[in-house]
Amino acid sequence: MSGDPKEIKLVNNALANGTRKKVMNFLAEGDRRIEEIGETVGKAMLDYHLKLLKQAGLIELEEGSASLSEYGRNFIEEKAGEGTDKSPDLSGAKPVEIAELRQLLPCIADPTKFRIIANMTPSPGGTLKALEPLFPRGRYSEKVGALITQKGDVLTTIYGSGKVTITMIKNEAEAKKLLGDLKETINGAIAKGIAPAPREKVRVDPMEVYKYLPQTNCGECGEQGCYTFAIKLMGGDTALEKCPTLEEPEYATSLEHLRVLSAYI
Amino acid sequence: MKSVFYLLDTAPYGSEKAYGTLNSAAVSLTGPDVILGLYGDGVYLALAGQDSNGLGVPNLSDILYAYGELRVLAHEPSLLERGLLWETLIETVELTDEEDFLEAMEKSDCVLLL
Repeated sequence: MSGDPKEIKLVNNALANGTRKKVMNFLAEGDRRIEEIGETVGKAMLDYHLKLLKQAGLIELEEGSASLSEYGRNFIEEKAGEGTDKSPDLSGAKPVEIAELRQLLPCIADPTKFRIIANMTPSPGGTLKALEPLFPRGRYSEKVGALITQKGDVLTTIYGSGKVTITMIKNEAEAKKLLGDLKETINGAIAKGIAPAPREKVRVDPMEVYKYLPQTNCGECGEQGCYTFAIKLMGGDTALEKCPTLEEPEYATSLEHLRVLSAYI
Repeated sequence: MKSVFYLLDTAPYGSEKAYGTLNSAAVSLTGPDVILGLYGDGVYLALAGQDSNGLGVPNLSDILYAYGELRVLAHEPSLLERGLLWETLIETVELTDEEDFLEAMEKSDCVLLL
């Protein structure tokens, strides 16, 4: 397998799908017959997924059985190694610039506020994770490869590709100030060349979720009260849609906050 | 109406369909569950690094980034046919196989196609 950027992108995209991830993890335990894989990960579209993994060079298919290719095995081992690396590195990271503020779009919940999209160069990529401790309310989401920070009502999302979005902005001047602060914070850490010490991860706590709920304890969601609903939401045992009160226009802003929060629980 | 599936099967630039679908999906976010499904030439919208300078139209990938809570499914076989799995895609887009894509459509109370 070459280091061709196009091939690397194919591998990344191949592993972006849940079914294929399951197949890879299953094969990491040993070679398997296709039927066994079907029984474990589900038969639907299995041929298609196996073909794609083969095309990406991650697995080998032979007479009704599948195994990880050498490249696939190395890839999984490298990934496992990354997971245990507790001190991400900032050395070699270049200072970032906010290249352009591209668009002001209306905030859905509150039409008097805006969302903005800006570009950060060079794209921060994997260093984003190392930057997480810089922000008191920062969370790095592995799923989307983005760092989400929160300050009051304002949510800032920085993507690995360098896109920055900020919600609940009053005007362009505020956006520019926030982007300037963001740049300073990040460049300050990069100038020191060392990643800030990983801190105890600030997780979304139930009180935070509760704060945005209607707090009417109406029970329409089937729970005893709003706090129970918040706890269940944290555990993934219920969904925001179960709360009909949140659908009312006066809770639109709260709902928007909850949607973002729940996406990263 | 509890859930709506916006189906986009035309290329993002060259007509206003994608722009219209995206805006419509974005404003629906406060109400029902919204999914934007990219199918056929619509999957070109999933590509990262779109540049609409010179076209005189907004950059549609920016809209996807701005409304990150919008669930976007890209029909993977369509991406594969067009050689787009070898390209960088927008982070918020979910790659979905034929069956899951159809299931998401069937589960929605309504499917809108501009």
